[in-house]
Amino acid sequence: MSEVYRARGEKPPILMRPDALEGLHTLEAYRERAKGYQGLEKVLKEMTPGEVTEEVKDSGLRGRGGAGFPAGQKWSFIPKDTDQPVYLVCNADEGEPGTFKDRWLLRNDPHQLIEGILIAAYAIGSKKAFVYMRDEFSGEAERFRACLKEAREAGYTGEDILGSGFSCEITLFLGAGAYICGEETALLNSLEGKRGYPRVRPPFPALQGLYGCPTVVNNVETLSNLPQIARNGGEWYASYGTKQSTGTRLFSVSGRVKRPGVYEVEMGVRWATLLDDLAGGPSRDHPFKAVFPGGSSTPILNAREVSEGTIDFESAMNMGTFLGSGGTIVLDEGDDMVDVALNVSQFYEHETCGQCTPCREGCRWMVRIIRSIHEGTASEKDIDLLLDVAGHIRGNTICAFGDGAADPIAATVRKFRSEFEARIDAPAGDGRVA
Amino acid sequence: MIRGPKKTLKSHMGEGEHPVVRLPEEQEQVTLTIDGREVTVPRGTKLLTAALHAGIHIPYFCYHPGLSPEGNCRMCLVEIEGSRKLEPSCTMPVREGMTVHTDTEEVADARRGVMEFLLLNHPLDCPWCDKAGECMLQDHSYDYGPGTARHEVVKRTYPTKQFSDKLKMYMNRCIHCTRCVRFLKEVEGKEEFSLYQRGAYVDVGTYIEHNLSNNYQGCLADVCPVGALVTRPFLYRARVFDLEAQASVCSMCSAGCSVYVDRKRNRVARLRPRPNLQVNDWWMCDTGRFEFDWIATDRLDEPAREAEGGAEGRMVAIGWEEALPTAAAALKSAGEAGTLGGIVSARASCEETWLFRRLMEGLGGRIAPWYGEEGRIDPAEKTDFLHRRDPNPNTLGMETALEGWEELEELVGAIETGEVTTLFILDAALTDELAARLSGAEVIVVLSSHRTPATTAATLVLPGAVWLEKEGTLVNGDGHLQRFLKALDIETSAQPEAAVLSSLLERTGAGRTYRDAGEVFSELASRVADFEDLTYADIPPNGYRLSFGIESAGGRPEDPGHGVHPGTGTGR
Repeated sequence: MSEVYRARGEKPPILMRPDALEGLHTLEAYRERAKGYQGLEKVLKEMTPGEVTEEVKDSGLRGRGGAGFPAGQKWSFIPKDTDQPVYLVCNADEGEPGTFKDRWLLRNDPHQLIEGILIAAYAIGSKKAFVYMRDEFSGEAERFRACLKEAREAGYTGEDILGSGFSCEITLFLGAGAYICGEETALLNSLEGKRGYPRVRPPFPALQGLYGCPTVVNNVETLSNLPQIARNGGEWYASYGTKQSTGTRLFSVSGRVKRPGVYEVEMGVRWATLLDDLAGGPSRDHPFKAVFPGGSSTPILNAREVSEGTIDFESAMNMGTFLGSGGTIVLDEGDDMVDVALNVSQFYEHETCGQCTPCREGCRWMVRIIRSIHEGTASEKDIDLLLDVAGHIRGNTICAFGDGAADPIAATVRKFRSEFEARIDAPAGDGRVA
Repeated sequence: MIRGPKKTLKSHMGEGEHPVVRLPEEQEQVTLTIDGREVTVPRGTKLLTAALHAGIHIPYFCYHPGLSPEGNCRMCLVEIEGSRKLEPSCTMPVREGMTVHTDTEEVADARRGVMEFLLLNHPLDCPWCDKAGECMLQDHSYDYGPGTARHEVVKRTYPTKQFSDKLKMYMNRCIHCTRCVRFLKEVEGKEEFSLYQRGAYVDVGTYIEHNLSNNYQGCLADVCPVGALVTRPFLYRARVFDLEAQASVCSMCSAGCSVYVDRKRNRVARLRPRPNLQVNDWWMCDTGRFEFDWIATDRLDEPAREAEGGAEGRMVAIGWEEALPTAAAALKSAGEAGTLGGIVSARASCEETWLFRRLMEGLGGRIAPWYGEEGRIDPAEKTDFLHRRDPNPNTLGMETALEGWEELEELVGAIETGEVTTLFILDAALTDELAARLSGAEVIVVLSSHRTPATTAATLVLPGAVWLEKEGTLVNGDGHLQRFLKALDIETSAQPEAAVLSSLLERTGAGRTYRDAGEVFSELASRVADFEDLTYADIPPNGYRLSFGIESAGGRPEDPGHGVHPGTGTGR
């Protein structure tokens, strides 16, 4: 098996450990080979919920779903003395184009996620956790259901877990295929049986989430890190990575690389570590040209930025992008950026929920403009119009979808404008990234 | 683009630029600053509501003061100090010390963007759209739009839908604000509308194609900020800017909804709700809105008396100069003989009832009320969130003005035994069966606007007016007193009932004449305690809640500060 993990020093992998690579989808394997549920036991027997939250704050763990919000801080927004039920929701609706790292965790280490859910539920005082999984993950869902059954039979879920007095039920819920339902408030509406429309914030889910009750929504990878943070301490986790970006991250690399797949890197490594050392470098006779660092919603980086930047929140922010959901899409000099823009914009036109004006109308308009550029029927001013439309979407929508649809297009046009200008006179291509 | 003076919105939400809003009932007050002005509102108020309440205009489409805010149109984006990006003011709760700017270049740019996005797929068919002239998209485009188009995109289209004989939907005009969906969900309650499909192709309507069954379809056209939902009875009947509006009260049930009568050439073109937070909020039912054809049907247009020696039931037209002395003489002599009775309808106004009472009391006649075929129905009993079972607009007002009466059955019995020989009927339609039982009476004088079973039994018919042709007061099922004003001219020789009653009072010597409804009301209020010594001119635009003997906190009527006085607000 080829290498799947790289760190800056000698530290071992956290998520893609050798035992996990072999598959830990039975309770027996998870307990025997991965110290399964020892983190939960420690938390329930030795720590108060507040201490768990503090430990996670100390770890510096930030959300792995896209926004990168500090997990412990998110938990601390849950009101302490509420008489409402508190809900924990695991976002397993991994739908961002280019992203398939949560799927790896669901396939290979589902009990680790269950243990993470229980630790988080204990920390925020939730007796009811939901896992919102995308419907396309049918095999993963089947496996997860079997794991939930094992966990329940072993007393890890249900009433009075491990004699601690803490009770928690976990329910698996399958989505129906809409990208927008990965947005946490649309997810909550969908979970409630409503149309998957994002909610206006405030109120934030921590105060009024699922069924109007305090709710934390965490990503699969975020929760999967918790058992080891519980066992080894926040300080241990924070010894990985950089000051602002602790730990490791999973990246699903696709596109023009020799070995597309899921890889784990310690935060702070160079992009070359991920793209060349792990993913094997360019797959064709072309050098890399551009990279969507964390899914198609994250503004694209050009080759120079990729060579200069490092994989961490700070570096991404400095380059005007995000690590998003870790869906790294690699393009090389053989790829046409107008094709790319058309492909990406069509995805957002198809998936915009249509609730708010700028996104509903703007995504459709952007596709029309890019298509006319692609077909060679546009004029020079249409390129500026495209940027202006993107500018009127960004920041003016209910949820982050609008920014995710507009920013990558704007960045692609700004960084590769000459390719768009060349199309004004010479149409080509079929709009698909081959 | 040519820019004229700022237009004022004309809508069911209130006249002018500012809709009637309802603030939360919360004691704690919050003070914030909007465009340099300090605004104080109860905690929990949303920013846009606070601004509108203070008279600061922020444009919006999806916000409606009677519906939950959804923040989807993005037209009301404002700058809040400390916020990284623009925020929708309709969903943003106010905070103490919040500093808000609605007039920055960034805000103006966002509004231009929203306008451009909304017009991208809008058919711009204003010349044949019913909403033109009262369309928010039109008005906001004028005030905030870019003025020019930068797009040559094929517009998305939908089929046009008929939802019933009352409502039609031009979905191409829809801006996806979801006000209609929210109205049916949150106010009407049947949830007959929903959203289907996704993104730019979202569709609005019923899941399976079928007629709407709710009685508030007119409100769907009201809440629609564009011409997507329009009422079919009004479709292509008039341009809204050719209509004259008169503030009035609906008379179709005991709810007494505040309405505007939009008239064209002395005809009712349409009725629409006038916001009144004490009565009907921003709504009215379809029964009140659409059923006004009866006003012009089966009307009595001149006085008539029974033909002498002719076939029974045959009437001959006479002039008022003959009718009034004849009626006065008959009533007077019956009064002297102690054989006079009178029936008054709960459709009559307080003033008419009072004059009727003065006449009957002055002549020594007996009085019985008429409530309709089903008898008295509790005027407070609702059939849904607004409409009442009692079809009379003034059951409580009539009873309060009369103070005492006998049951109709008793009076009819007295006719059958011959105790009562002369009957005066004000506005009461009666039934065929009841009318037949009156055959023993020698004289039956009926003052009525329409041909009814009562007029077929009459020996003398005096043509009256419908409420839109006169003025007065009504008390709804909750004891809320409202004025209604004349909206239409009478085009026949019919007379307002109060004028006829006033004349009869003088001619019989039972009383005097009155200058106007105000003078009648003053007398009524000074003589009947439940009217709380009000004067006609003191009745606020949205009416006054009578306390019926209960010590009220304020005591005197107070203008709630919203809406338009029936006497001045024409909403033109």
